[in-house]
Amino acid sequence: MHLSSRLAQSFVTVSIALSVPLCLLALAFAVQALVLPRPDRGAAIARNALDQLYLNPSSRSRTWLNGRRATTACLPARERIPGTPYHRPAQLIRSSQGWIRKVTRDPRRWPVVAARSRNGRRQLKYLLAGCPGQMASLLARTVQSSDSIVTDAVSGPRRLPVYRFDLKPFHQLRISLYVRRSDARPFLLTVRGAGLKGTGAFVIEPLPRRGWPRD
Amino acid sequence: MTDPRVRVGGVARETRLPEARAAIRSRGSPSLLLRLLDTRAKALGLFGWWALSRLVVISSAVAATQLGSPRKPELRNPLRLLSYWDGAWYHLTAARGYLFFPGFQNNAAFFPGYPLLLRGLHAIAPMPFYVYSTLASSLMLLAAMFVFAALSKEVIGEESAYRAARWLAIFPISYVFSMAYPQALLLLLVTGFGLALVRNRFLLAAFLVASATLVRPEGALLVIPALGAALSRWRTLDARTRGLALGAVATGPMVLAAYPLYLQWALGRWDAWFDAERMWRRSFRLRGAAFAIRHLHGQIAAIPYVAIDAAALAVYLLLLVMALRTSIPRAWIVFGAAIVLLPLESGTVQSLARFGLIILPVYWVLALIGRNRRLDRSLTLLSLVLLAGATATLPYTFP
Repeated sequence: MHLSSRLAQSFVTVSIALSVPLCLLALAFAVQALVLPRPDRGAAIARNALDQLYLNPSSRSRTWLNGRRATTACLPARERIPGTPYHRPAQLIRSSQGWIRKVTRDPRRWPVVAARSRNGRRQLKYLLAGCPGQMASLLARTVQSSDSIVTDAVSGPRRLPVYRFDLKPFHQLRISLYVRRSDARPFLLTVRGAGLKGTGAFVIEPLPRRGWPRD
Repeated sequence: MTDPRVRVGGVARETRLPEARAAIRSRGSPSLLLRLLDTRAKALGLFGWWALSRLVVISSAVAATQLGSPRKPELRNPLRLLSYWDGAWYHLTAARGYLFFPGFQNNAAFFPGYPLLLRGLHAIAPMPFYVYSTLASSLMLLAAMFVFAALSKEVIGEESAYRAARWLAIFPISYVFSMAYPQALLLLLVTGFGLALVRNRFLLAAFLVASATLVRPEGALLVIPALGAALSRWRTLDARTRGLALGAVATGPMVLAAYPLYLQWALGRWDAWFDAERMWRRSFRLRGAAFAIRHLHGQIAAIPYVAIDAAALAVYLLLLVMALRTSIPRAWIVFGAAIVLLPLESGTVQSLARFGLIILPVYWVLALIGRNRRLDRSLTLLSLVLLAGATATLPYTFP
């Protein structure tokens, strides 16, 4: 009798001890699921595009800049943050116009290097905008700061169905990113403004991962 | 006989309290009325300290925005300044839910409890985010001060309790309690949990642990004081209350899983929280604390304001060591040590000043030091000056 009473008491203790946290866990999950909104359509499409940019961090772009044709290769790199043991992602740009520049991709600290020509700094920013790392950073920041930035569109003579993102202004450059609707792969970037002659358009091609430069 | 009504500044020893209470009971209703008036005066005093401290914070924010050179034009509004930094992430979460972008800073690093509250408040009274977040945080600090005073009466005695509650408002980092940060809400939940624990209200304690864990991961560490209370009273509890006490112990670690479960359901990535934390260069590592201490100089060279966090860490640890020499329950001291030492394992001291704001023994020790009135006045004045100075750094660095 004494033993069964103790067993019953232990059963009561254990069952309450388990049920209280389980009920509260279920309640916590339900409150989040019921109250917080799910990601909207623009965010979902942007995430797919970002996944593609993340998978293809290096790219080659063919563009026209101030009446001259330029071919630019963007390659990911890492650089040490001065005064700390940390590294941060950086971007290496190799352009047919004769520049080789490494610029940091940290959104709070860049760009840090200017090109040689008088108009070089502006042109560097223009070229940088076409790099996957920079594009991804701009896209992520734009989606996080505004509600609907994505529109349905068609591109080219074949009227390829695409999504168009109007990104946040980047150093006075107005940028639109075009993403293929079929596989969410970014393939075209148009850039306007900041005193550049005409409108620039990057045709983006992914590069193989081999041969990435290191610090 | 010493009457507690006429004691000024807490000079009388607390060991006389039971005796004094008995005297009050024997005298009947007039003394009770006076006692109520005494309590009301203390409550008004607490309210006054809260108002003074918030005035210091707001005026320092105004001075910082007008005299300094904020990087963004919108930071010229002091209320916007108080809802800046991580406040923007909480606002984003409240407005649009979690938007997870792997490899970039995103709001999955921030727990949902505070955005849930903001969303609820916005549904009731639609106002600009920066207005109601600052208002809500400041009011939650006021509520936490009263709950903490009630808890402190049980832990360090009535004489020091109001002084301890006063320290919540005037502590140099307490400007965070008026920001769009979850610390004020977390403080209210932690103090409420402590009070529920000393009154054997274990079901309420479990609910408050669950809420605190949903606000910040530190909430799960309340398992330590819950375990301490359950073990110390185990023999005096019946079977049902034992179950509730164990339930309160298990709730923190179990509810910690609610957030990754939600992320899996909403975003398809249960580990989005950890991924996002890495973007702030925070991830637990072996010997992370040693790394943080060894590279402290480099961190301060890169971000000078990290010195505030390093200094706060030293103060917290010193006060926790001093707490060992008092009657403050050891479980609360271990909880406090875990609050500052666990984040140190992520390899940086950054934000430790803010994380440590919920270490209750810090305020209890400061209140006990304050029995010396001259020292109390000096520390209070110094703290208010430091509070104003620390608030003025807001346009330049995050807390």
